[in-house]
Amino acid sequence: MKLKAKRGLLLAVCAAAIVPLAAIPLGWFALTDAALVGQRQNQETPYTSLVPTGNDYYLLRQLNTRVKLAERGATGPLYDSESGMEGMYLSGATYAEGMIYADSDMQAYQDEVLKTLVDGGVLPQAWYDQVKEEIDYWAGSTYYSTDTLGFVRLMTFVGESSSTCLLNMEVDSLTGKVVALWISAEQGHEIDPTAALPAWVELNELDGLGDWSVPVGTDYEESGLYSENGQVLMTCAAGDDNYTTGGQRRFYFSLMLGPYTREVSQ
Amino acid sequence: MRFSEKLVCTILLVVVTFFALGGSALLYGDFRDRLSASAVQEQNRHSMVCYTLENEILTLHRQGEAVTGEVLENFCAELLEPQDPNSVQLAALYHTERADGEGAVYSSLPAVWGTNDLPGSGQDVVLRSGESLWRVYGTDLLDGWTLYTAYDLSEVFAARSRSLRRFLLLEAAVVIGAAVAALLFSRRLTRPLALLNQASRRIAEGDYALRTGLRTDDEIGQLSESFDTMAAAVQDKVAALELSVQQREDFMGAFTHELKTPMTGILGYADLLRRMQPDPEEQREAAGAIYHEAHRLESLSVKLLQLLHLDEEELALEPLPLDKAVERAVHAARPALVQNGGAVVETFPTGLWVMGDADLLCDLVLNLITNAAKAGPGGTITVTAQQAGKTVLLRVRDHGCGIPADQLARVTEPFYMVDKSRARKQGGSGLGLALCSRIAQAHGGTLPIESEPGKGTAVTITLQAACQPEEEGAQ
Repeated sequence: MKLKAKRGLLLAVCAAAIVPLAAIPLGWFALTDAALVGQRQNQETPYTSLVPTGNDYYLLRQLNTRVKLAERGATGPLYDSESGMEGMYLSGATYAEGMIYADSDMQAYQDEVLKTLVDGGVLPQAWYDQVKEEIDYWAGSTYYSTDTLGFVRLMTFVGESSSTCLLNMEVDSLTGKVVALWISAEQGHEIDPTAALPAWVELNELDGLGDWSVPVGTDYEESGLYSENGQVLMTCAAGDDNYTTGGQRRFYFSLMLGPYTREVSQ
Repeated sequence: MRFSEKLVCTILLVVVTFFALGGSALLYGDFRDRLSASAVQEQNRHSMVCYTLENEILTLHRQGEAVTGEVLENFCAELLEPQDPNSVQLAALYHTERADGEGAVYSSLPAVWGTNDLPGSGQDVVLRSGESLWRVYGTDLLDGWTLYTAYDLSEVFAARSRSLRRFLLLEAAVVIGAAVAALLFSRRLTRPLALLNQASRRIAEGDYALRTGLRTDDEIGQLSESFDTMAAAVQDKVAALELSVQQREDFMGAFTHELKTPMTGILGYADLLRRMQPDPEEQREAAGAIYHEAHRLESLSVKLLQLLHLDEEELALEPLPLDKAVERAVHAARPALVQNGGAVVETFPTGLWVMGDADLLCDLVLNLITNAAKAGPGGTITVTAQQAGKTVLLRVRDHGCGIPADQLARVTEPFYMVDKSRARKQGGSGLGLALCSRIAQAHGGTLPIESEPGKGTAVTITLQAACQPEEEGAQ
């Protein structure tokens, strides 16, 4: 009887061992599933992001076109080039006599653009206040001109007989993005190009170029940002104004965005 | 537990273990392949969405339009919005600056997935949502946008579950099949063992002639053969023991009889002398009879002692000249020769040396000459010797009455006498040839007897030849 019971027990143990052994695949997959969930791993063929060029950005394409057209000096209606017939380009006037007097709406627009720059961290508040102060004091007059590519130039003159150009701004009319700004004020203020330039990149929505960097070894090492992909340079500078005439010492603040080839420059 | 059952259990455990492990590896490999194949398709779709979105961003840039969250949300909604609630693709678009703050610009991902659960750029991760598992891919796009797409892995896991179910059914079939096969195989394998067990029991019960008769070319066959050999040895040993017991009983019976016969004569004659007053002639006859029977008893006891000593002690053999031993024996046999009609012994000196005990060898030859004299009173007894290789054959031949062939094998048994009345009359005790046989055995030899009734008997003793010692040779 005892032997029979022992035999039965051993057979039961054998059967009990077979069941979990047979269920090894279930345990195996339970373990591998647990290890699979939440486990980050690198993609085998990760997506390679598109590399944009300057022509992928409307603003830069416009600037490039302007440079190209300006270089050929074509102001006629049609131009026969190697690549075929091209459209004509008419530049906007850069002096008050050739410009149109800006009404209040245009002046408000100018102020709005400046505020956008201030809010975007591009133009220091002190410079904006300085500009406003001199405009109010001198009751400065504003003129504008446009070229055939849609760039609008706004210029504000102050001083006796409006002889001093306080502000010279170029804006793309479609996007409202500033491509150039020149301020000549009686009093200068501190600027921080390292903060202002990235802010301007973002404001102009050019951060997609993805390779903005300081153009080391060039004249713009301390005041510029360069994009190899976009072949474009933007600068932010301030200092003594040696350009504006009138005998009075003035200070300038400058923002410039334009096509630039680093290799050529160097 | 029977051995066959143990064998079945062991085979089943091994089969199940290896089948389950092998199957697991196979299924897992298949599952990984499906997962990888699915990943390739998912990555292609993810890349397509990434490309479409980046293209849209660049298009907006080219057109000079603002790339706002609202624009992209609408675009994503058109591009990625699942039309089917059971869609296998989900997506979310985050901006770097908004990922941790205001959440996604667009998202159809389950709310249970936090931003910390989502993979980094160029990575993927498997996340659980309810009962289903999704693989989520993350990629940083232009302008600080990050796109996540998630793909349902339910079909891959469902396919695995189907494979697993099929495998488990197959495994169950294999286990049952293996159990049946192992049972049949183990029973067939252990049947010879059961037969051996049964045979050993029957042999233990006394059926010594039983043999298994299993002849296979494996270890079990060898075991059966060894078992049969052992059984044969046991049978022989038992037979030998039975024979020994029988011989002992016969010996005791004969011994008792041989003791009783002279004692009866001695008692009878002694009683005659005690009760009556016989005349001197009768007294002399009675005393002679008593002397004769007592002499027989003494001779019997001496030979018995010799037999006992031969059984107990191992002889120290030494080289000795055979001629001298024969000469001593012939000299000692003279009274017996005279008593048996003046029989004559012819000897032929050979100069041979043998290994032996001088006294025992002398006794051996003496007994044989005495027996020969009794077999053919007045006849000629020839004692010859010759060397054959390393042995020396000493032969004692008579021309007496001979021994019947059916009794030749028993004449060396103690107390066995072919003609008892004649033997007793001649003072024989039936121990002579038994003693000769033992002495021959003690010398490492045999005692073959050739005889033909009415023509005589030849007894040959096989002895080991010896070299003549140098000092003896010099003498």
